[in-house]
Amino acid sequence: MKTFVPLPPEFAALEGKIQWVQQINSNEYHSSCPNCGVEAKHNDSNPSDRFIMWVESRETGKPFGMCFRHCGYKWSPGKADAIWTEEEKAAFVAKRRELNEREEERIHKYAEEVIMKQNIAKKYYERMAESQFGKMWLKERGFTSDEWNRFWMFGIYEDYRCRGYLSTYYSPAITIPIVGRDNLIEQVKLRVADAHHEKDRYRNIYKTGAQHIYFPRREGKILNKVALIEGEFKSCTVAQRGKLPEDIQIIGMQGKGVGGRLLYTLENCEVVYLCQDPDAFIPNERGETNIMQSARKLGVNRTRIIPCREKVDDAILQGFNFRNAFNMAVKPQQLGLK
Amino acid sequence: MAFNPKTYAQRSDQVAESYEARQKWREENAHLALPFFVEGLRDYVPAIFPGEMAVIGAPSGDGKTKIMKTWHAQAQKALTESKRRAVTVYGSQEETTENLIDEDIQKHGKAAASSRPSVFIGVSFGMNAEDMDDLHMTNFIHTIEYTQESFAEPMPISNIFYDYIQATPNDPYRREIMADGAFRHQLNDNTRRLFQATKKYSCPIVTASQTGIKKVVNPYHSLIPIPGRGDYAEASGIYQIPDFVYSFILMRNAAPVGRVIEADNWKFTVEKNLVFFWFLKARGHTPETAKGISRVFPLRIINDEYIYDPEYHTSMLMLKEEK
Repeated sequence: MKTFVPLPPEFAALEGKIQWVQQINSNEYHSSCPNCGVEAKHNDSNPSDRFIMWVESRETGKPFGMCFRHCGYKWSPGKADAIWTEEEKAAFVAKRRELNEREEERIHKYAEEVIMKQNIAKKYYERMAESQFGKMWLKERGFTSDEWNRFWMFGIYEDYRCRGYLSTYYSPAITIPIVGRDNLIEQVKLRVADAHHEKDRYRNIYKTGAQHIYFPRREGKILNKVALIEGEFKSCTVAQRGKLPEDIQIIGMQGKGVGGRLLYTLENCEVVYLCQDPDAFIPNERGETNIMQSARKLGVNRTRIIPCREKVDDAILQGFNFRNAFNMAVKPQQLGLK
Repeated sequence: MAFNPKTYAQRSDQVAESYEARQKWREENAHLALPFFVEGLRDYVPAIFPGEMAVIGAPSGDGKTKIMKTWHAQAQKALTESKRRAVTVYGSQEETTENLIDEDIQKHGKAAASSRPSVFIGVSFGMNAEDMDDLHMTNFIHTIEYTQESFAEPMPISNIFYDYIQATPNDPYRREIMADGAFRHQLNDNTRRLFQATKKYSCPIVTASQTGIKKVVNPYHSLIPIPGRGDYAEASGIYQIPDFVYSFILMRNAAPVGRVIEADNWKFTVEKNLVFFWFLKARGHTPETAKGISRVFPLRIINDEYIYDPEYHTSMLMLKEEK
């Protein structure tokens, strides 16, 4: 449950114009936007946090606020508008790049110093060789190639204690090391084999606080054309059986969300093909769909939607020809969704 | 639009040049041609190149749609294997779009059927009656154009299958501009426009046509009544306009199963899966390039495939001494 706090005195001029102020840390506050609306809640029932305020901004050391999620409105004691000068844009892009690079460095360092040193992915991978259950699980999901399974280093955690949505229980879990761009293991993901609830199916071993991007073919760099597949396991299925052209890089997304790290990673891509689960096409109570939200974040003009009416890995195992679907991709606008 | 004679009049040197270009294009794009649907007859029946049109003729109930669907499935398979970015178009005036993929779903499942490189044009379940009558030839051709633009990038069309000429609703606009609104003129007009569509979309077109049921005017033989050139129902243009014409008859509809037929050189027993094919027309071909022209071939439907077996064929022919 979020708690709301009084507006810090540095932002007194915004009193009455913003609501639902939350403190993130001693320097950062979130609230509704004074310019573009005061919606109380997001559709995930969290309070509106589109306007972000820093008591001391990194750039000037003075209070600064900005609507990040919607209108781009900027507020500082001397200036408040939604008009971006070229200098401001350049400064913002540079700052964003700097922050992204810093975040990349942090993830890289954590991967090197913690995850790679602990090397637990290897431990689980070695256990897989002895696990009949694990092998059967992989086989049932179409991972029948030992060569690929070794490449992806699928492992097993036999007695994973899952703190589930409704209860805590033990279940075997299949592990997949999330190998990032530099061929470093950034995370070890778990697929709870006997999940008691839909929300319990995936867990991460490390609390990295970052969105991890999975490269099932481990290209080591970002190519010009990318196919984004929802879910790491699904991206593996597409890499193994999708028959995509060589110049298309397959990337596994962690869930549906298109986060800042992913956008930063793909900023220079010319075309982004997007393949999400069927529920991404179902409108929420406002009539908006996740697939369109993702497309807008990625840029509608460079996004292509690969239509698949089932989860893509299940569909491929049932004879769905992913290459044909890729060839028949549509623009987001052609879906007729909001 | 003002008529521009320059578009049509070409000097011989220009034509010679474009002839060479066309020949080169055909050689380089032989993979775009649609092979005949009976594998065993591909040496006898030339493939249909982009810009060419073929008509399948048979009486009602003798398997035109079945042949179209079989051929279309082969085209889908070839396109999938080639990994080429293109779609096949299957237009039907007879079956709903859902019916058209029913067999594919039954055989291969929904996931496989939903990823075929195809667009289906026709009446869908739940459509109202007025809309159904709007899919005349002008609108069908417009719908193909729409199809091409309904993907992220303009989509090439690999083949068009259209089932069938006589079931096409009347086009009110074309009826007005023709001096006589007779149905046969509409049929000729529809055939001609479909023929032109092969050039517009640079792909082979296969369509089907009814032949007469009550009377066969030019049968191959009175006991083997494969429809001939005069039997294309209601309009001669259906035979005259296309590049290739293939006639079929499902023998069990012409004679009871088990009956022994003796006609000219033929002597055979009617089986329920026996089909006769008469290769009637191949524009621009000679008997050297279209070896099967004017000939009749027996086919059998086995596991939903049309099979030609030369030994079976020979077994149905009487030797001279037998005669």
